[in-house]
Formats: sequence, C-alpha cells, structure tokens
Amino acid sequence: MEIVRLENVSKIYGDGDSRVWAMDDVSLTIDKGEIVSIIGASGSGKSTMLHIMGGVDTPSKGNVIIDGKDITKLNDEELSVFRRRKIGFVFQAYHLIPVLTVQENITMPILLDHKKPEREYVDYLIEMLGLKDKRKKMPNQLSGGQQQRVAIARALANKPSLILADEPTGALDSKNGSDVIGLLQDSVKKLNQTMVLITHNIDLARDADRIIKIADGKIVE
Amino acid sequence: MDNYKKIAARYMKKSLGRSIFSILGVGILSLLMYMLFLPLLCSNDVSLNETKKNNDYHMYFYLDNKQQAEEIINEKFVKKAWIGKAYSDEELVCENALYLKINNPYLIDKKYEYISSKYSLEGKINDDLAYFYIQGKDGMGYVMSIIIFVFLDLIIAIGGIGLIRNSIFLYLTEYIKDFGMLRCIGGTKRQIRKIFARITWDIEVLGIILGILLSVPITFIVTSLVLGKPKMYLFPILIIVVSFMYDLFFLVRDITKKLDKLTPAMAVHGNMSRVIKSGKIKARGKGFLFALFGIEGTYAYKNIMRKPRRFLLNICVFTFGIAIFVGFGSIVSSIKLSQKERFEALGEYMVIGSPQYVSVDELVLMPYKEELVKFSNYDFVKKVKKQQSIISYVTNEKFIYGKFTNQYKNLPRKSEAKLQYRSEKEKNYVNCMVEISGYDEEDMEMLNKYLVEGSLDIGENEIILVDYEQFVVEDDFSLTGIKPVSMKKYDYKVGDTIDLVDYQLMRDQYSKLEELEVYNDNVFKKVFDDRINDLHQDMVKNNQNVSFKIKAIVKMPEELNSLSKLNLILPQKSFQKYSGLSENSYTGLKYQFNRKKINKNIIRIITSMDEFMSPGLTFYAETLFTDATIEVLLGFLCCIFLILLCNYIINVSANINMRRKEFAQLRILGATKNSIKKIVLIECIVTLIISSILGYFVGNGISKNTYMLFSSIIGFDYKPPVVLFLISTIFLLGVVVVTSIVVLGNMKADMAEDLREEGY
Repeated sequence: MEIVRLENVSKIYGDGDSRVWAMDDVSLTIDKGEIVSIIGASGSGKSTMLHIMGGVDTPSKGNVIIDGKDITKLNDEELSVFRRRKIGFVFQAYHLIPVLTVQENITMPILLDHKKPEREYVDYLIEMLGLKDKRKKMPNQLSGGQQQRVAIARALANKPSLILADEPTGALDSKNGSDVIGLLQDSVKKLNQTMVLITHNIDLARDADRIIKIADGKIVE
Repeated sequence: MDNYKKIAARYMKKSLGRSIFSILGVGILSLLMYMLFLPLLCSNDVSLNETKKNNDYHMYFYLDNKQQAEEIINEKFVKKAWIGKAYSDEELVCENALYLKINNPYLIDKKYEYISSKYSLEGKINDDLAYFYIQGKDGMGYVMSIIIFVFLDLIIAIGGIGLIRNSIFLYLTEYIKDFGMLRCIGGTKRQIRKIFARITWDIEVLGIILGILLSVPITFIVTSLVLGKPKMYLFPILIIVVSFMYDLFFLVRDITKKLDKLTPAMAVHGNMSRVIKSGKIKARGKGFLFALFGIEGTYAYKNIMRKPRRFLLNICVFTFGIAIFVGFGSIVSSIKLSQKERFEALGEYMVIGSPQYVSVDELVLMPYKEELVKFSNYDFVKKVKKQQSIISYVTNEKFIYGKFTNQYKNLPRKSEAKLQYRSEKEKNYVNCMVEISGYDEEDMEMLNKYLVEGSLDIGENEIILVDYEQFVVEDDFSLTGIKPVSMKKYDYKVGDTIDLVDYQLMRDQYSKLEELEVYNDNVFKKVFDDRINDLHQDMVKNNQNVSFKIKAIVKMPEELNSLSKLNLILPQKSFQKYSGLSENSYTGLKYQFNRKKINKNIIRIITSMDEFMSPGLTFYAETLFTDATIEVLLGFLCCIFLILLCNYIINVSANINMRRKEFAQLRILGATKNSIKKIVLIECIVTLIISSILGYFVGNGISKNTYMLFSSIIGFDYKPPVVLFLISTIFLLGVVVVTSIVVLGNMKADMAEDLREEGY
C-alpha cells in the first residue's frame, strides 16, 4: 500500500532567465513501511523533494498525495494540522526550540494538536533514545548527538505515518551518526512507519530498502 | 496548545533584560500619564471643596407655595433640600427659595429642566458647583480643560508606545526562526500569533499595573497634603488603559501581518527576507560620507540605504519627539523668561482704583473702600499707599492722534491708529482724554529705571510722558515668524508742549452746571457726554488751558500703566496744584506684593473686585495660572524627553545587537573594534542630525502656534527655540555615543560564536 505518491511534481524558483527547476516533473511512489534513501549531489533537489513531501514547501506543479490525502489541495491551517499528525521531521541542524526543555520539545507536536501526551509513550521514546536523565535540560545544555536524539523523539512523538530525515547525521561524528540511524530504523520498524532519508553517506543509503538518486531535479535511478 | 502562555513566558525570560526594560518602559509611561493629570484633578478637587464650603447646593427655585416644596422634596433624585434666601449680585431676590442637592450631580441640568417644567418654577443652577460636574453654563469649560490634558497624555502615549513597539519587534526579529520551526512541526499561524500576542499582552499589562502601583503612593501623598485625605483618581487610569489597549490591538495586528508571511519553508531554508526584510541590496557609490569618514562612512551609508524605509521611519519618530520637546520647551522657557523680566517690574506698586473724573466726587467713585482696606490686610501685601490720578483733556485731539508715529500707524493689526478718524463720529472730548497720575518721591525714584529721554527733575509746568507699547506682529521674514515689537507710540520729543484744559476750572464749572439743572427743575436733562463736550469746547474757545512742557519720556511695563489713553505723570505737588486734589485725598490705593506669598485666593479676591483691577493685579492672577501651566508643561516635556531618550537607546542597542554576525564577519576580515564603533556611530549620528534639524523646524511651527494660543491667556514674549534645540541635540548626541560604546563594549569577543548566529 503506497503512502507517498508524487505526480508530475515540479518546483521552480525565480522567473525569467533566472529560473531554476529544483524539481522537474518528478513522479514517485513509496509504500508503507519502506525505508527509502535519497542521494544526489549538492543542489540536485533532494531537500526540495523532501520538503514538498512533508508539506513544508509547495510544488509549482503536480500533486502530492500522502497517506491518501492530496496535500496540495489543503489550505495552510489544514496542512499544518496534517503535518503535525502525519509527518515527523528530522533536520541536520536539529532545529529544537531553545526555550523548551527536552521533554517539552518532544511533546510539542502533541501539544500543538491540543492533545495530552501519552505519558507511557513519551517515556518509552525518551528511554529508547537514551535521554532519561536529560528530560529537564535545555537544548543548549546537550551535545549535538543528544540534540539530534531529541529531534528524533519529537519527530516520533505523534506517531506519524511518515518520517522525513534530511541528513540527520550530517552534523554528527560517525559513532553518533550510526547510533542515530540505528534508532531511527528501529523505531520505524517497531511502529510500522515509513522513512525517507537524505544522506551523503553511501553506506547508510545502502541500508535502506530503496535508493533514489536525484540529479538536476530529476530522478535518475 | 494551551501552553502558549508558558512558551511566551519562556521567551520573555530568555530576553529578560529586554522584557524588564519594556515592562518598566510601559510602567513609567503609565506613571507619567497618570501624573500629568494629578495636578489638574487635585486642584479641581480643592476648588470644588472650597466652592462647596459656601455654596453647597446644586440649584434653587423661587417657590410659589409650600406644597410645591413638599412635592419637589419627595422626588426620588432629591438628596437634600432646605428653604433659604436667594441673592443675585448681593441683592435679595427671594425670601423663600428652595435649595436642592440631588443624588447625581452629573444630572444637574437635566433635573433642573425637569423641575422647572413640571412645577413651572424659575430658579437658578449653582454654576460654580455645576462646573465641576460638567453642568451649568460653564460645564463645557471644564470639559475643555480635561480634553487638553487628555491630548497631552495621548502625545506622551504616542511617543512611548513607539518605544514599546520597537522593543516588541526585537522579539520578533530575534526569535523568528524559532517560530518558523514551530510552523514546521505543525504549529498553525493562529497558534504562533497567540504566543506573540501573549508576550505583547504580558508586557503591556504588567507595565500598566506597575505604573498604577507606582502612582498610588505618590497620589496618596499628594492628595493627603492637598486635600487632607488620600484619594485615587480613576479617570487617568482609564485613559492609560484605553491608550495601551488601543495600541495593543494595532501592534498585534501588525505583528500578525508579519507572522502570517512566515512559512515552514522559510524556517528550513533559513530565509526570512519576506518576513524580516533584509533590505534592498543594490550597488551604490561611496556616498558623501566617504569623504568625511573614509571606508567606515561608506559602509555606514550603504547600510542606511539598505533599508531606506526603516531609516525614514526612524527619522520620523525622532523628528516627532524632538519637535514636541523643542516646540513646547520653547513656550516654557519663553514664559519663564518673560515672567522673570516682568517680575522685576512688578516689585513696583500695583494700583487698585480709578482715576477721578471731573463729574464725580472722589469718594463716590472710591471702589469699595472697606474692601480695599481689607485687601491691605492680606499677608501677600507688603506695602500700601494712596494713589492719585485724574482724567483730564488735551485741548485738541491732535495732541494724541496727530502724534502717532508712522510705525504705530502702519501696524498690520487693528490699533488705535486705524481708529484715528473716529473723531468725525465721536464727540471731541472723548478723543482728548488723558490720564494724569501724581507720583510721590518714592514713585519718582522708581521712574529712573524707566527713563528713556530727558530728566526727571520736573519743574513748574513740566510733565512726564509715558510712551512705548509692545505689540506682537507677524513677520514673514523672521525665522520665527513672530516678532514682539516695542515701539514708540507718540512722536513727542523732550521739549515739546502739550496743552491741557484747566482741570479745576472744568470741575468747578461742571458742578455749577449740575446745580443749575437742578435749580431749573431740569434734573440732569443733559447727559454727561453733552455736558462735558460743551464744557470742553467752551474752555478751548476761551483758552482756559494749561501748557506743559515735556521734560522726560519714560517706558514703563504694561502692568504699571494702562496704555489705552495717553498717560502723563506729575510730581505730587504739581499734580495737586493742577488737579486741586488735596494731600489727603486719593482715588485708589497702591499695593506692593510679596510674590512668594501670592496664593490661589488672590484669584477669588481679584475677581470680586474686577471692575477696579489694574493690569498688574491681573498679572498676579495670571502668574498662578502660568505657574501651574509651566509645571504641567515641564512635566509633559520631561516625559517626552525621557521617551525620546529611551527610544534612542533602544534603537542604538537593537541596531548593534541584531548585527552580531555582520560585525563578526567584518572583524574576521580585519576590521578593528574601533572601526565597528565608528560605523555604528556614523549611522546613529546621521539619523540624529537629520531628525534634529527637521525636528527644529517642525518644533518651531508648533512653538509659534502654541505661542499664539497661550499669549491670548498669558502675556509673554516669544523666544525662538534655538538654545533648547542645541542643548537637546548635544545631549542626545552624548547619549547615542555612550550607548554605542557601552553596547559594543559588552559584545562577546568570540567571533566564531557570533558567526554561527542565524542571521537574516
């Protein structure tokens, strides 16, 4: 059963002579439970594709269907709600909210949804990601690896259908990086989630169920 | 998401210094807005209490019968009622008037009309008391005074709110990425707005509460001293709350517009230029600042031109503040300078009394003799002595109207000069009136400082002329557009002669005329006018006059001399010889006042004697009003200057703080800290100088128009605001320099950390 479908999606920046086709008529499907790696050179359109899948960015053309819903037809409010419930983001730069504690950062998507966090599940995530004694800490009191774990926990908090990770290990050393990927993969398998991962690390890419190679905004493999 | 309050609090805590500063700013502003009203409300209460002491009723009615009284007393809105005598201008008008006090004094007019029409009664509202409840014939005057203060309060609010806005926008620019990330993880626009609205709300509400709390002890102390019991006033609090809530609404709306532009993509891409405009980046030349300041000047110029709208906005804000400060400040300094000059003159004697006319016995004209004696006993009266003056007549109006100087005749405004042809319509004697005063030795000594021409050694048939008058003319060629002009009114020189009728003879003949009329059973058939006119003409025809040579010309302040007529002065003996008045007779009293002991009672005293006030006495009454006005204006100016100062400080520190990454990049390229300081200072000083110059011209306009308004109430000379402008500019320059140096000095040395800061 497919969870992601891109239909003739294009993303154009600029106009006239300075037009850039970040994505050029891309069509793609990803099935539920798949772990997909996206690889490509810098500027090839990997992040753009990820952002469009996650509803962070809007395509210039085409349709994006996530978990049966065409997100290009949603208004801003609906898209925000969809994002918080269905998508979990992990970024290279972590992007934690600096004024919130670790626990608060993790539960933020749930709270944005006006729901009460399931204590047991949050505890499970914290335990699983090795953050038990860091609950009350602020992001600036954590190392890079620890911050990325918090970001992962946050991405998983609302039990999203789709995890989108944009070079999650880019800012980490190799040990932390492999730990983080391992955690992501374990979680995805346990919760039967789908993950799309951008990485420059070919070894990490090979661990995925499928590799998509992008060049100049098009899928080449 | 219910914890947006918590998130808002966290952000406020993160920028604790700015949060405290902003709350304090709102608090102090609220306090200042409250304090501006305090003198007005306190003095109104004092006046109200004094009025109530003698006239504690709202209205009275002339009763027809007792039954009516019973019916009226039973009306629900009547609080208290009694029967008493009613007076009008100290004359008894009704033996049995029904005096009423109603429950709600703000309905005096309405209830008066109701009773009047229902019971068909005539009566009167106590306007003295009704005034304080915006009722009666003068109620609107009270409203106007409140409106003026509300207007001043709003000016303070506008200036201060600009400061708060700057501060709030700093939150936005500093944390915009965080808000973008919240959008990324599923926060809606509304949820983000709520966080920000909460920050803004917290700052303003906490600030208002702080301001009100600070005002409580001050108000209690002041009211306890002035009114005898502590009291708080709610009206200023209402103005404060309305002003800030009004601003809160618009501020949140403006921020909402920016936040709504924030998309998750911006946060991820790190490009906030649609929300926080990074400015117009385009190639520019070196700019004129290069010649003055080198590369730092060029850099400063390019940075200013990168955000021209922001630059213009800053210019407007600062120009406004400087204009208000300079404009009103010049009024205050003009009033104070004028007061100082006039008070020097007012060490002299002020006259209460009227000159004697040929037709009237001095004692009859003597205004309220008992009152004048009573007046002498007030503690602000230092000395008292007799005044002697008369109204006499020149033989020909050419001695007055024919002697106007060209300068006086060419005054653009209406003046006596333009009325010189009224003689064709008026009877001759009217145009020939002069006032002659007799001065004793002490007075003659005083004249030395006013001497312009001649000598005060007055011999027989010699006289002193009082000349020079001050006018305010509009002058298009003057920088200020206003020019107080002191000009010679009469074209007399020392040595000229002036012919006066024989006053004693005229007086005798007038008395005989009256007797004759009575004798012929023709009791005062002819009116005064005709009799005097005939007498005057006869005396002129028969050369029954006295010639005086002008020995001296003096220029005296208006307060010491009424200049509506030609004024002449004779030493006492000469005066008595001419007028026939004896040493013991007097037409008025002269008072010397102790300025420091003048209090508000003088206004009530003077108004009860207003028919006989001299201009100088009026000035004392004005002084109290002037002093109160100066206090209010000074308070207002302090507020404006404080706000201006804070705005400058915030602007300078914000300018620096938000450019840490930029400065780090410059330093990595080799710029020294001093170079950075120079760049920042140049930017700030350019803004300051431009806004100061513009502010001067705008302030000049405010100053001139305010002068026109105030000078109709308080007489004072206009002084252009040059000195004030220079002082304020230099002071603000100092503030800018110090702030820049302090803030730059506090910046971290770690360039790498600054480089990692997410810029925009």
